[in-house]
Amino acid sequence: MRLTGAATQTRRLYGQFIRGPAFPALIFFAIFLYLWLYLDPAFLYNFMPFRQFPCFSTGMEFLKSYLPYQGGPAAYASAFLSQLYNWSWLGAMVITSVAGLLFLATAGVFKYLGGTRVRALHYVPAVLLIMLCGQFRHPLAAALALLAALLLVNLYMWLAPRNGWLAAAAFVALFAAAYYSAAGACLIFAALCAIFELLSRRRFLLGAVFVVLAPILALLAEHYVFRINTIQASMRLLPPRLLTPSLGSLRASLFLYCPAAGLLIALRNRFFPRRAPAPENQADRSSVQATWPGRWARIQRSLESPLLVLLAVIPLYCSVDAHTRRILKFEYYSHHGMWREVLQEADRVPVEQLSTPLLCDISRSLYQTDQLPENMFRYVQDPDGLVPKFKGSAASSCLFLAEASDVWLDMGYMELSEHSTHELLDLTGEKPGLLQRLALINIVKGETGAARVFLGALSKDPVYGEAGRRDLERLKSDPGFAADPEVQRLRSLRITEDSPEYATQEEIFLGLLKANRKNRMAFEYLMAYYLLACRPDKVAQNISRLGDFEYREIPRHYEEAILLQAAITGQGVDLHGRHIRPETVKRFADFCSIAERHGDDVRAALTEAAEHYRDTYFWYFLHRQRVLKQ
Amino acid sequence: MRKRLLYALAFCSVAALAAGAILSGCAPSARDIADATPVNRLPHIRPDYAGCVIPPNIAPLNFLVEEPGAEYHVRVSSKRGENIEISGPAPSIVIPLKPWKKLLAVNRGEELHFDVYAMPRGGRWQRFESISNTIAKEEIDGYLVYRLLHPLYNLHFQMSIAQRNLQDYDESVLLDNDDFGVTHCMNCHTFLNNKSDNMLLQVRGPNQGMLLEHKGVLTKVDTRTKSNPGASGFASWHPSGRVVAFSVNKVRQFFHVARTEVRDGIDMNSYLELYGVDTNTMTSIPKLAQPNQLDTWPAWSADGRYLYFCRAPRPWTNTEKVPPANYEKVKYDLVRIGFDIETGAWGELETVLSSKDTGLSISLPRFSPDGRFLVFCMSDYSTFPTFQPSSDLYLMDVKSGRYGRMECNSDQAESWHCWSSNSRWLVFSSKRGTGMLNRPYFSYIDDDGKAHKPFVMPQKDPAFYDSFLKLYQLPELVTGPVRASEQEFAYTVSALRAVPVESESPAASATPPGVPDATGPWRAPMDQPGQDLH
Repeated sequence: MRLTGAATQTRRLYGQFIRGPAFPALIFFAIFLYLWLYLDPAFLYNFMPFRQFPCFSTGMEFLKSYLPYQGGPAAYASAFLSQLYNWSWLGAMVITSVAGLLFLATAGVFKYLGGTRVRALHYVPAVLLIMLCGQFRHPLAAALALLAALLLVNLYMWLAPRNGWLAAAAFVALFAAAYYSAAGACLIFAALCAIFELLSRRRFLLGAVFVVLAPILALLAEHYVFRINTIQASMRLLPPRLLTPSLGSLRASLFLYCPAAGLLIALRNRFFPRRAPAPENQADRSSVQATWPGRWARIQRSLESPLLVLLAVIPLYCSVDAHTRRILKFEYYSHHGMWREVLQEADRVPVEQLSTPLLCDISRSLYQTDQLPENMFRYVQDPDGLVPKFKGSAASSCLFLAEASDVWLDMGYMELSEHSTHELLDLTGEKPGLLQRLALINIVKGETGAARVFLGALSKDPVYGEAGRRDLERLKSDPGFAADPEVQRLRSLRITEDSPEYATQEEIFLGLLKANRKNRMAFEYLMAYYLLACRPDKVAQNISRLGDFEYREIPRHYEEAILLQAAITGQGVDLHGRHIRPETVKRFADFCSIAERHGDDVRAALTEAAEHYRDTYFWYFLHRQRVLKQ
Repeated sequence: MRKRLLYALAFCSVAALAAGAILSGCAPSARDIADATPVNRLPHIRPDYAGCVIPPNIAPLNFLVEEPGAEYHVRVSSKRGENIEISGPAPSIVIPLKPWKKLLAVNRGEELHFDVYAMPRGGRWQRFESISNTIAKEEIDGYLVYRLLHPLYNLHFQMSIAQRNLQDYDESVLLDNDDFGVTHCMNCHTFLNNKSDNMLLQVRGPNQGMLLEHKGVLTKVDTRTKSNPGASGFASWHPSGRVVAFSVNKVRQFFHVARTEVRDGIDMNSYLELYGVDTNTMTSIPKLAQPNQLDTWPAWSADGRYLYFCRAPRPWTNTEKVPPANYEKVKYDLVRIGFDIETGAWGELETVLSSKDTGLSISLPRFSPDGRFLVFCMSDYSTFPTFQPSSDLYLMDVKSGRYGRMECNSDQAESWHCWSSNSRWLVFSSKRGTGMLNRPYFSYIDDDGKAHKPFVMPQKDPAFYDSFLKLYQLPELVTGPVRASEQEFAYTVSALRAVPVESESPAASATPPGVPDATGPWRAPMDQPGQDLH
């Protein structure tokens, strides 16, 4: 008996936990941790080439650009809240809050439609939102539009005017609010209100009127009040790439779920009233329990909790775009100058996933940590991976442009960095990182007028505004930024002799070295370019340039190229008083013996040599020759 | 209930009194003003609205006082009417619209004064010398239509065509590529005789075509034909409205290694055509489609008897290599050809102004509607003045043929000019101040053809241009707003099939070899937008 009593007590406590606010709070706390510590909204904020991520500017002009459009309030709110992503925890808090409100609004709507015992259904929109976040597509504006529509539905159902005329008036007023704030999501409002009237309150005429009235009102509004139509306005709220099939279905589910589930709940409660959920108060509950098979109800209740946990866990495993997350992580580290972290991350990534922009990040990190001529072949290399080439195409161009902008700026080629940054500005919007960069480039070029405008725009950014205002003040007192070592460094590297754009990367590096022979980055990239292009002869020719820098010895990969060149031509290479380290000579001899042992079977030679010589230029050279032959 | 109402009323009254007290505290008394210490120089203000001639119907010229101070006071006055007094702790001077309009309306031809006072913290009021502008007798056309975009390199994702009411600050979007696909490019909005009821503009991209508003109907026309696959570019309406002259260009962009403006453009190939508006026909003009010539920038004379355009010999045969060798030596002449609108007969070619004489390249000729003046750009080379810092505006007296550099130029590129319908105002795009960002400037052209000091288009927020990163391109003055809405334009672009030109003249075969491709004038290089992560 005592055991049974304890079990009953436990069951009651469990039931209270599940039905009370503690369980949803726990679920959303877990979601918050997941967003904060795993997805990390700061990755998105700091990812300059991410065009779906909105910019925000303080001041009336920016606000005014949203006001004339349906859905403008949701888009404006999204733009503002997105800026909070700069702080990982705050960004996670924003998404969690929106998800939590979606949960509450959904629960409210379902309650007004008669309620459901399966409380897991209330979580579905929130879970879909988190799944979309796992795809790194920033669906905040769309989620806010949906939230606005659901909150207005709740308001309508709460008001629930008895008088038909009053109900119609309330519908029109709230529909107008939904249409303006959420554009196309107003149809969700209309659909749920119609379901409510048709099935829950059995006012068929009113429900039918709502169904007819909604599109008419939308058409009238778009024709007489707004400048664009509802579809155009709705598209502005949606991240463009949500049109891909998998994401499209997720998005469609997010929007269609509430009307569809609401309809089913209302239908069930309308046609199977005996299965209506238990009323809240205890007296009513006992009477309902008498009519409800107790065992099935217990099973259902005990299953609900694991089901919910599963629902929260599924997005973790199924919906995360790991590849995109990796790119974002790389970019984040690179953007913050965390070069060692970039290289650590590179060690963890499977070789086949190292795309060109990531290779570019690796090369830059190697240069910044003084390892490029020593260790570049420790990582997979590709001739196109040194500096991404702009292909004049939007496909994949954002990331390429961002990389090019970074590399050319570091190297002192202001005009090409400016070119790439301007392309990004138009593709992705006036992101603070881009504004900062364009201001810097113009300061270096001595174009203070243009720099002032970029800093003016930056000063309106809610996160970086202070930095913009500070630099504007500095520009007044020191227009040339004479006291800024970075500006002076970049200025000293600039090409000053004008001509039409260089055709090849080699020409660019040589042009930069012509402008300033001590441009170490241009030199190391030029040598890396020759190494990757399998031109050891060019490496040998440029060894004399080592004297312009403070290398104590010939860097390892250059030594390897020189040895290779000497072996290919059978002639010595002028080392300008330097020498090749004996260990490099020994490694070359060992490598040659492996190659000779396998004769024409290059593949076998590469496989054997990979164990000890995978990080040498010899191995890359042989591998590349094989690839080119194929 | 009544009690609550009383409390609310009492609260409002106290709040109103407090606000009044604060506001009146900001305004200096008449005695403060009279006792202000004179400063013997003009105050620094931004934008530069000093010594200009302004239209009597322009929106208030709001400005920022760039003098140190904790309090500011500005008095706007003229010979007649009530002065406007503006006070406050902010250096931003926003002039109220209604009193401004009244003041300007009763003072046409008179001087307009800005008396600026500033009071440094803990100091006395200072009075600077009065800033004077002149209110012209002639109004400017009420609307300005322009293209807004970021500095354009290869890609264009945010582009719109907007119209601005110059009498207030109302700006509305006519066309935004967000509405029908960001890969679209649009430009060359052109109006008949400064009126917005007959207009055309070009759209490039998947829904390519020429949008034509004619007789109250908006249509999309495909001006390409089998023998002329190039889409039409720069346009000029014949004053009769019956035909439009077009250039068809193969424009390519290239970049400089070290220059303030790194962008540059080149016309690899170009020729002129004629479009019949009522007949929907495209006619080639054999004399203006020579394989060894580059013909562009058509402009009808005010009486419609001549078609002016820019011509240069084409020294290259390979139209694929960009830039071609000696691109910087290509200089355009100003040429004209007679035309009879009734018979469609063409006259003889005449060189109006030779680049050999000027040493510069001529582009963008535009006639004043009264036919007295012709304004054009001249730069070191090329026919894209907006990319040439050397580009200046020149004015020619059509009767005498004398020409000279206009007084409204700066050390940066001036381009995209347009006359008002009364031939008294010139709007142009200038890169002054930044070297990169085009802003619309207005200049009064007097009877003698003298251009008075230009002023930038006023904005409600006087600091607007300090942070605005888009360019104003191709500003066109029109007397009234464009009838069609953004929605209608977007629908026409995306949903309507382009009407092909119905026929073409047999002379079409005179089209030069290597005709420009269909994507000109600007290549639309995008395939799919936004595949930005992978």
